[in-house]
Amino acid sequence: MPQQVKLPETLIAILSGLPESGMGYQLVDITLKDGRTLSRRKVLNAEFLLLEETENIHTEDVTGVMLSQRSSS
Amino acid sequence: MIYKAENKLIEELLNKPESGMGYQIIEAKRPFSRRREMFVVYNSEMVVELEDGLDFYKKHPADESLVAEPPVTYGDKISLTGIDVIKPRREDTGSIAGELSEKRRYTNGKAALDNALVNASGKDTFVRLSAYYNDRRIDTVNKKLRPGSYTTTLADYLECKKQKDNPVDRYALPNVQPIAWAFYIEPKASDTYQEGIVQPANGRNGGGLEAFFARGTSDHTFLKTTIY
Repeated sequence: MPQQVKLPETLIAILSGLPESGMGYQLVDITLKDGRTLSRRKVLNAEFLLLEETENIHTEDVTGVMLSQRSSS
Repeated sequence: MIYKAENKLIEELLNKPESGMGYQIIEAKRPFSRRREMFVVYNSEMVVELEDGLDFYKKHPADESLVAEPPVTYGDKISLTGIDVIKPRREDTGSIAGELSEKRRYTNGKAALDNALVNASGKDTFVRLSAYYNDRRIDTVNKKLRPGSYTTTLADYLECKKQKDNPVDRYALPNVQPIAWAFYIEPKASDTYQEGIVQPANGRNGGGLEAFFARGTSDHTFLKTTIY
């Protein structure tokens, strides 16, 4: 089962007020405290960031979040 | 010629629908070129030139013979711009619903966001499915659905259960846990939404009905929670 990490409460509150990308999830761009940005990542229930297999990210590593731009189909 | 997609291209392709299971037929431009070309992409990363593709594909829109067994060796890396995914042509029924497949999923139609805003009837019930009892899109204080939230219709939810369908696949969800809860919403006639067909996403097929409430619903429209 894919790993997930809970976002900080302040970011959960932000995402809870933003539109979903589908039922129960949002596509977001995440900013980490080391300066990296992770694009188009999935967050479930506005609180759980899905991690890739080798990722090791903790709640306190995540400093910012915004909705990813909708891509054209 | 066969190319490996650059990482940024892979990411872009992963967020676009497939033309069929495991492949995408795309029109795109190479950087600094004005000419649109056609390619077949396997697994969002192996890009194969589709020679004479455009005219051929328009004459043979759903010809699966275009998609032979993927070759196994890569060439150079490639980046592309202006990507359009070409889907197999299906008969346009002129309605949101379209044809129904096995498990009573819809096989054509646009996503909710691509359809017009309509008013709720005031009598219809919508159902939000979730793995989480504390689903954050349900405002349990004001008993309503928060703005920017998706549901399905009661009818499609019941069909999903009747067909013993997989809701994670039907609604194209990236869930790691199974669906466990159903939240019932009855919007008022003053509430608006957009209805459509769940498009393939997250490695899932979609095909269920979806409703997007950009403004959420009025107070006291959240009726109850049940186990899925």
